[in-house]
Amino acid sequence: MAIADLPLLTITLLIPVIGTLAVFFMKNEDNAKKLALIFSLIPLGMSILIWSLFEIGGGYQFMESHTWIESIGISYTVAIDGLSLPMLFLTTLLIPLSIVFAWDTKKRQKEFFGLLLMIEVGLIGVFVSLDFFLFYIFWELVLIPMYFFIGIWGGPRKHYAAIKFFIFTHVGSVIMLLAIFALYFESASVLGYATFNMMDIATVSPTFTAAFQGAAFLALLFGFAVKMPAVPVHTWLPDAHVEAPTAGSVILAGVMLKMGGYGLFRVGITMLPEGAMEYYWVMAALGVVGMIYGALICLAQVDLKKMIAYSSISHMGFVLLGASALNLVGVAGGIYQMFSHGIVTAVLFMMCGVIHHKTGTRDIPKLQGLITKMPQASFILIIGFLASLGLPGMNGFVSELMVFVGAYEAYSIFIVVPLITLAIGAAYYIWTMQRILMGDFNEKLGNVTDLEKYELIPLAILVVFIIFLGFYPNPLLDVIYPAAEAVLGGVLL
Amino acid sequence: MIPYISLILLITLLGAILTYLLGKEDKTAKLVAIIFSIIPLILTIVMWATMDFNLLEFQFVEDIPWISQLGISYTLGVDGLSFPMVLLATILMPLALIFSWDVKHRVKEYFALMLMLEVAMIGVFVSLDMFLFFIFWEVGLVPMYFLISVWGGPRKKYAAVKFFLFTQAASILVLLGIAAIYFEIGSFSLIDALANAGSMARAVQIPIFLGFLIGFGAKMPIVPLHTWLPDAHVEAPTGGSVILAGVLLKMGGYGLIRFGIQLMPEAREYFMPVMAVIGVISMIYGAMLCLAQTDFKRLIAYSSVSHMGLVLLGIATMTMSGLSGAIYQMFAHGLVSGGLFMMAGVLLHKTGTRDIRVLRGLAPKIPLAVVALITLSMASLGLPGLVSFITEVLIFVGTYEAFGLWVFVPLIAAVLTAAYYLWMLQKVAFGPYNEELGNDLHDLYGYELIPLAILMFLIVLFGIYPAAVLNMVTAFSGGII
Amino acid sequence: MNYLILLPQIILVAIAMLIPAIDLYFKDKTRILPYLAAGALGVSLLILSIFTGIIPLEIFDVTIPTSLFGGMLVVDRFALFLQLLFGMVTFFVVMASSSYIKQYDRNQGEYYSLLLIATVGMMTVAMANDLITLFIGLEVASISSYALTGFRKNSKKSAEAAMKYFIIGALSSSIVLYGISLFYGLTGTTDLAQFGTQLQNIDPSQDGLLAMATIFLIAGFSFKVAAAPFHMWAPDVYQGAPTTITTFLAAASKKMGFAALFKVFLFGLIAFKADWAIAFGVMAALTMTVGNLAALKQEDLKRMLAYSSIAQAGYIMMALAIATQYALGGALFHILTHAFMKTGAFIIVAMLSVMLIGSKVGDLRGLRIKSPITAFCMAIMMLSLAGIPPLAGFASKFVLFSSAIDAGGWLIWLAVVAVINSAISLYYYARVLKEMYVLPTDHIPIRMKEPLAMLIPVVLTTAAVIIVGLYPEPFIDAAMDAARALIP
Repeated sequence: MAIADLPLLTITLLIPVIGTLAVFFMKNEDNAKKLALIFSLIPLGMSILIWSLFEIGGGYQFMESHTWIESIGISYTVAIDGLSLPMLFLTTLLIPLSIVFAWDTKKRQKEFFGLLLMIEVGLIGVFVSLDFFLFYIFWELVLIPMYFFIGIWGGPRKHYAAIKFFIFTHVGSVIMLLAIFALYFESASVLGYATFNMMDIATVSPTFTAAFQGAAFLALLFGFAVKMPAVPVHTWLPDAHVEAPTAGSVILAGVMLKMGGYGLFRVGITMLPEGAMEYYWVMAALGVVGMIYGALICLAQVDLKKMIAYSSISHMGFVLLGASALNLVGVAGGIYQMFSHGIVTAVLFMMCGVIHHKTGTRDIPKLQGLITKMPQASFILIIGFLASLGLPGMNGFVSELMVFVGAYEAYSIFIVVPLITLAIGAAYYIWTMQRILMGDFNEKLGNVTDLEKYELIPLAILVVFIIFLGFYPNPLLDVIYPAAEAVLGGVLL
Repeated sequence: MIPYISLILLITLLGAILTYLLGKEDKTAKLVAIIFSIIPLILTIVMWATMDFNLLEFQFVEDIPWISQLGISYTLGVDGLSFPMVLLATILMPLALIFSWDVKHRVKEYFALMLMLEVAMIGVFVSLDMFLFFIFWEVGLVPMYFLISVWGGPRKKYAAVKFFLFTQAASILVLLGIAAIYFEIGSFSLIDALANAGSMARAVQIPIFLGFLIGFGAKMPIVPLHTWLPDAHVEAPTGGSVILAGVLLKMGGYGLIRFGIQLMPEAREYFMPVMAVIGVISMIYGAMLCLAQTDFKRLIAYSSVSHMGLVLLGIATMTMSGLSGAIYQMFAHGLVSGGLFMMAGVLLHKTGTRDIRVLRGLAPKIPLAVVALITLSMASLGLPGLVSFITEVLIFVGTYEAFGLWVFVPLIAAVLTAAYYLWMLQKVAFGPYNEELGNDLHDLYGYELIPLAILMFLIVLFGIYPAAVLNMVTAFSGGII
Repeated sequence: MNYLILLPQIILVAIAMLIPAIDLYFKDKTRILPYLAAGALGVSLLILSIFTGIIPLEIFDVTIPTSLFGGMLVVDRFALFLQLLFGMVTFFVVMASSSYIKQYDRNQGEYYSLLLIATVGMMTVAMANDLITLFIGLEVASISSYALTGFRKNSKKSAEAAMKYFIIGALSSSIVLYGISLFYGLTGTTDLAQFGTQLQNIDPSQDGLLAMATIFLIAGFSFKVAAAPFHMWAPDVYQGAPTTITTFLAAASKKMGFAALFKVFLFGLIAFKADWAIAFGVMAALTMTVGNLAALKQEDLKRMLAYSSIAQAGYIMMALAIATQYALGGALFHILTHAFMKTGAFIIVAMLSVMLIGSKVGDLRGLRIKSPITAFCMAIMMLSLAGIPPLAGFASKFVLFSSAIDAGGWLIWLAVVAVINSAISLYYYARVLKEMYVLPTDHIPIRMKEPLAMLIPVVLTTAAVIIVGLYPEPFIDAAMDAARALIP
C-alpha cells in the first residue's frame, strides 16, 4: 500500500484532535507544551509529506469521501488542491512555531496549549473540507477556542474583545450559512439530488440565474468580508488583536483571516462566477477602501500591536483587490498574498510580543533606540517591516506585484489609487522603525535583553521563508496557478 | 563566456557579507570593503576593454529563467546607456569608501551597507528584467535609509524618513508603469519590451510616461519633487552623500531614458516640451536657490538639482547631441558632485562648520584642499577643459537644434552657476582668514587626498579626452533618434 | 381497533394513581416514589421505542398509524415522536427531582403523580385528531402544571408564579375554547381531518367569523407557547416554579403547545396557509427578537434561560410560517434538540441550587474548578443553544433555517432575522462561558460533590447533544417521518 493511499488528510486532522484531548487530560501541567509541540509537529510533517506527494495541476487530491447524513446529502469529504495546500501548510507551520514562541506561558498551560491545538483542528478542517456542512462546522469550531484564548490570556480589555470577536465573526458566518442553504436548494433542483458536496454544487452552480448568483454572492461576500476583515466590518479585529496573547494574534492574523479569502475563492468565485462578475466592483471597493483606510489608521497608532492589526486590514485588502480583478494573475496574486501575509504578519506579531515582553510596553513613543539593546530582535523587526511594506526581494512584493498587474488588466490606470497604500505603508513602517529602533535608548525601559532562544527559532524560520519566497516563489506559484485557473473556470468561459 | 555582470554583483554582495562578518576590527572591515569595491572596478574596466560600443544591442547578456509563471527571468546586460553608469558606480564606490576611512561609529555596518548599496545600484543599471530592476531599485533605498538614519547629522531622523517616503512614493508610479507594460507586452523582459516599443497605443503610453516622468523625476530630482534632496544630503554622512549625488540620482535619469524615452516613442514626443520646461525650471530654480545658501553642503545639493535639470533638458531635446550630452552629463556630474561632497566633508571635518559666512580665507591654511575645491567648482560650473564643459556644450547645441533661440533661457542658469560658485570661492578660499576657526587646521589626510586626486585626474582626463565616454554613448543615442 | 397502542399511557395513568396511595399508606417510604414514577416512564418509553421500531422487537401487534375512537385519536409517527420526547423529558425531570424535591418534603406523592398525569395529557395532545380531544389533553396537562408550579407552597414566588400561570393559562384555554366553538359553528365538525373540506364550503359572508376563529386559536395557543406578544407570563413563571418543574415546562409543556399548533394549522387548516402564514412569520420574528434582546441583560440564570426559551420558540414558530414538510421536520427536530438542551441546562440550574451555589449568572464563576463536569456540560448546552457546530442545536437550526431558504420569497428575510438573532443570542450564552471559564475567581474554589441523581440526566443530555450534533441522521429521519404524518 503506497503512502498516498492512506487517508492522509484525515490523519492530519485527527492528530491535533488527539493532541487536544491528550493535553487537556494530562496530569503534569508543565509537560503540556512539550506534548502539544509534538502533536503539532506531526501535522507539519504530514503537510510536508502531502506537498511532496502533491501532483501539480492535478485538481483535488487525496480525496476521502464517506456518507455521513445521507438524508440531507451530507458527507465527510476532504481533499486538497492548489488553493488549500498553501493554507494547510501555513496552518501547520504557524501552530508549532506559536507553541515554541509561547514556551514561557505560565497561566493555565494545559488549556492554553490544548486550545491552540483545537484551533489547528478547526483551521485544517476548513481548508480540507469539501462538504459545506463539514466546512461550516470547522469554520465555527475555530471561534470557540479563539474566544477562550482572547478571554483568558488576553490584555486588559480582553472580555470585551473576546465577545466582540465571537459575535462579529459569528454574524458573518450565519449570513454565509444562508447563502450556502440557497446554493444547496438551488443545486438540488438541477442535480436531481440534494447534496452539500462542494464539488457537485460547483458543477451546476455557474449555470444558475444571474440574479440568484448575485444575491448569493453578496451574502457569501458579507460572511467572508467580516472574516478577512474588510472595512467597514473590520472593527472586531483591532480589539481582538490588541487583547489577544501573542500566539493567538499570530494564528488569528496568520491563518484565521485567510479563511475569509479562502472562502471567497473556493466558494464565492468558483461557484458563482456570474455573481462575481456582476459584483466585482463591490470586492474592488471593499479592497481598496480597506487598503487605504487600514493604512491611514496605522499612521495614527501609538500602540505597536494595534498598528500591526490595522496593517493586516490593509494587506487583506490586496486579496480582495486581486480577487476582484477576476483574471489569472490577480487571483493567483490574491492567493499568494494570503500566504505571504500569513508569514509576515506572524513575524510582526511575534516581534510585538517580544518587545512587549522585554520592555513592558508597546507604546511606540516610549520605545526608543532598541537597536542598541536588542540587535537580533531589531534586525528581525526590520525585515518584518520591510517585507510588510512590500519591499522587493521579500515575499510580500511578489504577491503585491501580481495583484497590481492583475488589477491593471482590469482597471488600467485607476490602480494608482490602491497603489497609494504602498506609500502610506512605507510611511508608517519607516516612521515606526525610526522611532522605536533608532535614536538613544530610553533608559526608563530598564534592563532590556535580546531574544531568547525559544523566540529566536520561530522567528528565524519565518524570516528564512520571507526571503526565500521573495526570490524564489516558484514552488508556491506552481501550486497556486492551476488552482487560480480552476477558481476562474466559470469566469473565463 | 564569463558572466562578468553577475560576478560584479556577487563579489560586491560577498564583500558586504564578509565585511560584516570579518569586521571585528574596524580596520579589517575597512580594508575588506575597499578591496571588494576595487574588484568590481577592475572587472568593469575589463568589460570596457572587450565591449563593442558600436553595437546597439545589449552585451554580456545573461539570461536564466526564474519565475516562469509570471514571465520573470534573471536577465542582465549592458549597453551604451548603462555601461557609463556602471563605470561611474564602480569608480565612485572605492573612492567613497577610502574617503570614509575616518568613520568611527559602527564601522563594519557602515562599510557593509555601502557595498550593499553598490549591489543595488549596479543591479538597477544592468537589469534587463523589470521585476529584477524593481527589486534593485527598491532595495537600494534600504541601505541609504540606514546610512542616513544611523550615521547622519542632527536631523537625521527626519531626513531619513523623508528620503524613504519620497522615493517610495515615486516608486509606486514606476511600479504602476511596470505593471502596465507587463500587461501590454505580457512579459517582464526589457528586451521584449524594447523590441515591441512601438506597439503600445498612444493613449496607454501617455499616462505611463507621465508616471515614469514623476517617478523617475523624483529620484533625479526635478523641481518640484526635489525637496527631499537637500535634507537627505545635509544629514547624510559624507560617503553616503557622495554615492547619493554621484550615482543614486543617476538611477532616475537612467530609468527615464530606458523606460520613458526608449519604450514610449509617441509619448516622448508629446512630453518633450514639458520635460524641457521642467528641466529649465530645475536648472534656474536650483541655481537661484544656491545663491541664497549659507550651508556649503546645501549649496552643493541644490547645484545637483540644477545640474540634473540639465540632464532633463538634454533628454527633452531628443537630438543626438542633446541625448549624448545628457548621458555624459550624468557621468560627469557623478564625478564632480562626488568630489564636491567630499569637499563638504573635508571642510566640516577641518573647521567644524560648513557655514560659508564663517569659512573665510582658507587658501593659505589648507592649500591642497582649496586647490581641490577650486578645481571641482570650476568643473561644476563648466570650465572648458574640464569634464562638464563638453556635456554642457553638447546639451546646449542640442537645445538649439530642437528649440532654437530658446536656448538662451537655460543659459541664464549657466551664468547663475558661475555666479554662485565664484561667490562661494571668493568667500571660502580667499580673503582674510577667519581667526575664529582656530590655528591648527590640518591639510588633507592621505585618505582624503587620494580619492580627491583621482577624481580631479578623471575630471581633467575626461575633459580633455571626452571621446572615451562619448564613444559609449553616441551609438546608443543614435539608435534612439 | 387496537387499544394496545395506548399501553404506555395506560401504564402511566395506573402508576399515577398508585403513587398517592403509596404515599398515603407508607409515609416513610417516600424514597421509592421517584423510582416508581421513573420505572413507569421507563417502561412506557421502552414500549414506545418498540412501537416506533427503535428497538426492533415484534412483540406488539400494532400498526402505525392507528386510528382510535372514531378518529378522535390517531397514533402516527408524529404522535409517537412527541410522546417519546415528552416521556423522555419527564423521565429526566423525575430523576433530577429525586434529589431536588427532598428539600420540600410534603406532598411528594402528588408531585410525581401530577407529573405523570401531565405527561399523559401532553401525549394526548400529540395523538389528538379532534379539537375536543386536543383541548382535553391540553387542559389535563395544564391544570397539572399549575399545581406543580405552586408546589413550593411556602415560597411566595412559587405561589405567585402558580397564580400567574393559572390565570394566564385559564384565560388562554378559554380563548382556545372559544375559537374551537366558532370553528364548530362554522363547519359543524371538530374533526381536524374534515376541517379542510368543510371550510371550503362555507359562505363567503362568514369569512370574518372564520378570521376571528383563526385569530382566537392563534392567540390562545401563542399564550401556551409563550410567543410574543403573549409571552410576558413565562419568565416569571419559569423563575418562580421549582427548577425541576421549570425544566418540565420549558422542555416539554411548551412543546405540547407547538404540537397543538402543528396539528391545528399544519394539518387541519393547511389549505388556508396563505391566510395565517404571514401572521406566524411576524410572530416568529417578534418572538425570537424579544426573547433574545430581553435575555441579554438578565442576571438570573433561570430568567435568562426562560427568555432563551422564548427565543427558541420563535425559531420553532418559523415552521408555521413556512408550512412545508421539510420545515415541520426541522421544527420537530429542533423541538427534540431543544428539549435535550433545556432539560440539561435547567437541571444544571437545579443542581447548582442543591449544591448551594446559587442561580445568578455570576454565581457560576469558578465552576470549572468546583465542578468541572457540570461546567463542561453547561458549556456544551450554551454553545448548542447558540447554534455552534458540531452540536445538536446547530444541526437542528441548520435544518430549520434552511427550510426557510428552501421556501424562498419573504421567508428568506425571516431566515435572515433568525440567523442574526441566533448570532445575538451568542452574547448571553457566551457570558455563561465567560463566567465559568474565563474570569478569575477571588479565592481559590474547592472541588464540590454533585448529586448523582441530577448529574446523570445532565451527563446523558449532554452526551445526547453531542451525539445528535455529530450524527444527526437518525434523528432527522425520525423528525421527517413525523412531519410526513402531518404534511404528506
